[in-house]
This record gives sequence, C-alpha cells and structure tokens, in this order.
Amino acid sequence: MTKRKRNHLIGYFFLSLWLIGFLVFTLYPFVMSLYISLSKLTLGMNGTTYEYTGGDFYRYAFETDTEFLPKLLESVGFIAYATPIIVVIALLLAMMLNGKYKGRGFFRAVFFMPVVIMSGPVISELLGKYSLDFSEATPELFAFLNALPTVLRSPCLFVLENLVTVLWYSGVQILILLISIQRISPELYEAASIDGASGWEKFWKITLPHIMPTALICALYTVIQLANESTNAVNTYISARMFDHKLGYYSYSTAMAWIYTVVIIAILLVIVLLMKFFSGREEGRR
Amino acid sequence: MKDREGKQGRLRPAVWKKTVRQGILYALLIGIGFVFLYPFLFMAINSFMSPQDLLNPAITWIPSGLYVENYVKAFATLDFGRSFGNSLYITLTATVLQTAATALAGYGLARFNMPGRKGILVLILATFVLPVETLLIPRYVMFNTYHLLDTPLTLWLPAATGQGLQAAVFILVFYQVFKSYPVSLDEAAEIDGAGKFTVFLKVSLPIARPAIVLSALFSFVWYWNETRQSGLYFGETIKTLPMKLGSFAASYASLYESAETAADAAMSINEAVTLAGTLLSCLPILILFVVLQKQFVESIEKSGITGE
Repeated sequence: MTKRKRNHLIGYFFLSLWLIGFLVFTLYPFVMSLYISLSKLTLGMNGTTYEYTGGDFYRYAFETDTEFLPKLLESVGFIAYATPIIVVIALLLAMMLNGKYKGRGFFRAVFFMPVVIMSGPVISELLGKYSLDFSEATPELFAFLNALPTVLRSPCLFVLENLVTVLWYSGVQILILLISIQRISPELYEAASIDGASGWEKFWKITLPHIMPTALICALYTVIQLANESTNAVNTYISARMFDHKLGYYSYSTAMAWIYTVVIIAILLVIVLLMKFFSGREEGRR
Repeated sequence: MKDREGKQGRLRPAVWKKTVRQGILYALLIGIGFVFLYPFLFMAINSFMSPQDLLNPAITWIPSGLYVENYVKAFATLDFGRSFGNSLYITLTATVLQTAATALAGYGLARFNMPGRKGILVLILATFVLPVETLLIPRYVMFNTYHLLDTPLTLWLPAATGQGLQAAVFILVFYQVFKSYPVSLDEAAEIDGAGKFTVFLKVSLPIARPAIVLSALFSFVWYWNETRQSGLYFGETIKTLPMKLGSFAASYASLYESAETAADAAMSINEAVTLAGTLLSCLPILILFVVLQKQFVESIEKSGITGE
C-alpha cells in the first residue's frame, strides 16, 4: 500500500464514526420518513405493518384537516416575518456594540444571555405571558402607526408586539455580525474619510457589502432556529397527532412534517438565491 | 502658539459631538438592555410575591416582603434534585460525546486528502440546513424497535456519531481550525515516531482548544434546553428540568391541589409560583453563563465561525 493510500484510509477511519451515524440516524430515517408518510401504519401484536396509501395523508392535510393549514400558515408566516426583522435588529445592535466604550462587555453579555436560557418551556412561560406590551402603555404611538400606510405599519406593529421575542432570538446573530464588522479593515474607513465620506455613506458602501454574506448566514440560522422551536404552532400540532391510530399513528404526523419541511426549504432557498444575487453583484463591481 | 490655539478651537466642537453621541448610545443601550431583561426582571420580582401582593393593585413592582414559600413549592413541584440530576448527567454526557465525535470528523475532513471529501462536506452542510422535523418520527420508530425509548441513549447515540444537536456547526468549526495550522507540525511529531491518532490527541487537539471550548459550551447549553427530542423519546420515564417546567401546572395540581379544599383559593397555583419555577429551572445554566460569560463570547470570536 502506498503512503498516500494509507493516509486516505486513516482519513476514512477518522470519519467512520460520522459516516455510520449519518447512515443510521440521518439517511435511513430520512428515507424511512418518506415511506411512513406514504403508507398507513398499524401497530399490531406482531410488530408494525405498513399499508401503502400513496399521497392520501398529504391530501388529508390539505383537504380534510381544518386545523393543519392555519397552524402551518401561522408558523411559516411568523418565520417569514420575523427573520428579516431579527437580522436587521441584530445588525443594528452589533453596530452599537462595535467600538470602545465602558460597559461594552456588560451589554454584550446582556444581549447574549437569552441564548443560554432559551428552552421551549421558558419561552412559553416568559415570552408568551410577560413580555413588555406597548399597546396599552403608549396609545399615542399606536395611533400614529395606524395612520401609516400598511407597508410601513405592519412591520412596525409586528416589532412592537413581538419586541422581546425578536430580541431574544437575535443573540447568536448579534455576536456573529459583530465579529464580522470588526474584521473589516480600518484602513478602508480611513480612506473613505479622507475622501470625505459621511458615516451614513460608509455604512452603505463599506460595512454593508462586507457583512452581507454573514448577514445571510444569520438569516439561514434564524430560519432554522425558529423552524425547530418545539413550541411553535405546527410543531406542537405534529407532536399532538402522533398517536392518532385512525390516521396510521405516525403516518399523518410524518406527512405534515414533510409538508412543513418543504416549505422551510423553500424559504431557505430564497435566502440562498438572495445570497447568490448579492455576491454576484459584489463580484461584478470588483 | 497661535497655531495651538487654532487647533483647540477646532477640537472643542468635535469633543462635544462625541459626548452627545456617546450619551445617545448609552441611552439606547440601556433602553434596549431593559427590554431584553424585562421578562427576566419581572420573573425575579414577581416570584417573591405573596398571593396577597399579586391581588393588590397598589403593588406592581416591589413586593411587600420576600415570600419564599413560592420557591419551596416550586422546588418540590419541579422535583428539583432529581430533575436537575437528570439534566446534568444527560447533558454532560451528550456534550462530551458530541465534542469528541465532531472533533474526529472535522479532523478526518481537514487533514487527509481522501477522495469523496467534498461530497461529505456537502452532506454535512445539508444536515445543518435540513429541518430535523422529518427525522424525529422515524428515529422514534427505530428506537422503539430496539427498545431504546425512555433511555438517554436516544440522545447519546446520535451525539456520539456526530448527528447530535447542531453537530454540523461544530464539525465545520473543527474543520476550519484543523485546516488552518501547518501540516509540518504533524509531520514533525510523526518523525518522532507518533502514530496518527497520537498526533491527533497530542498535537492537534491542544491547538483546537477554542473550538473545543465552543463545542463544549454550546452543546451543553443546547442539550440542556432541548425538549423536543427528549420530550418525545423519554416520555414519562426521565424528566429533565425544562421538561418538568413544561408540565409545571399539572405536577403542581397533583402535588398540592388534591390536599386542599377548593375554598382555599389562595393556595392554588398562581403566577408567582410558576415564575419561581421558571427561574429555578434557568438558574443552573444562568450561573454557568455568568461564570463563563467571557469564554462564550471569545469562543465564537476565535472559532472563525463568521463564514469566511
């Protein structure tokens, strides 16, 4: 055996554990879940039996089940709405944390703290019930917002109504964006200042293009984080229907999980396409 | 002399501008910090309120006294000792397994130029991007078949084989770290007679310290707070702290309400007890964060996770 071949073999040896895990805990369940969703499961005395049903459960989710679609829309709507807002707010906070001043470490820790304590039950206890509600405290603000056109009004209302939620979900993103901002060479800013650029111009022409790839990674991360939250409407519903024997036990839940997954992948694809579009423009400029 | 005066004259407005800007920055930071911490402060304060305080409209922020009874009840309702123990050993084991498995995989990918390496990297990225939703139920069926349900192995086995929570992130972090230091270091150790695995343990792992810290801290936090899989796979047999919080109202009812008369309304569950329970369930991880706050932030900074 040549030294190179031996080297490759050792490489596969290091990877073997992951490969086994991938086959057993990821690839096999993945294929299996397609199969389960396309057949009706029965748990009998002599084990589980599968009876092929085709797309029946998928059809059931869309045509018969009156609860699934509203819950799907609720969760997906929240993800689609919250993701850009979370990324923008994380970016603003990251820019505020960039720079040298007293207490910066403290605020950085405060902004990061929710990441550490966020578990499904904590979120539903705290954010569900006790986050700040501005609607009663500042009716004037709401009156003002209501006068705005819908395009402006609905995101503003969303932020106000879900302010704490949005902030709590942005901990990791703030840090990643902050590091990305700090990696931009200060010489670029100096050169821009010499050319007479204002802070505003520097943000749009230097900061934003540099952190765009990172911001889009943050967007991907946010979608995945929100999608997997055990307390969101669809996930709760999928878990609740898992033992419904009339619908083939796991079969219906799996079918719903697939529908949800496809929608999430579509959202992720949109973000990836945006990423391609922006990096393409970047290269065109260079 | 004249020159210096001119300079000072020009400097003064600049200093002013800076002070104002700093003031605005601090005001914003404090305001946003308050919103961040609001649910938390609310929880901490209200958890000390007696039932009378809760009903008293004059008391909104400062309780009339420290009512510790809430904590006594929450402690019992959470079955704190046991559920804390469960959380701790399940999480610690999963963390160690996940860190070891992801380090091995990252090393294998970074240091040996074997064919198929790129394909595997793509697969790892795919496991990060694909939602785990579809995997949960087939895994459940599988664990059921092999009688692994209701045991921590349902979390440990995927962790030990690099398929745990957010494992892809850690593999990529290890991959980056192992890729970025010179091969000559390994070769020098090999000339001294060390085998590949010894090199990995003695040379590579110490260099990857920031990645190990990152993987250990975040695996711990994520496994600690995990309820989706553990809720499904552990059922009623093992209850971790967050799971106990999830079923807080039900446990409370079975512990206290049967022993009380319906007339004793003040004794029935109130938000103060629930908040005390929520605080208790966050407390261990919060202490960990306060102690290791710097490591959390630095581990992200040093790991090069920002996507270059």
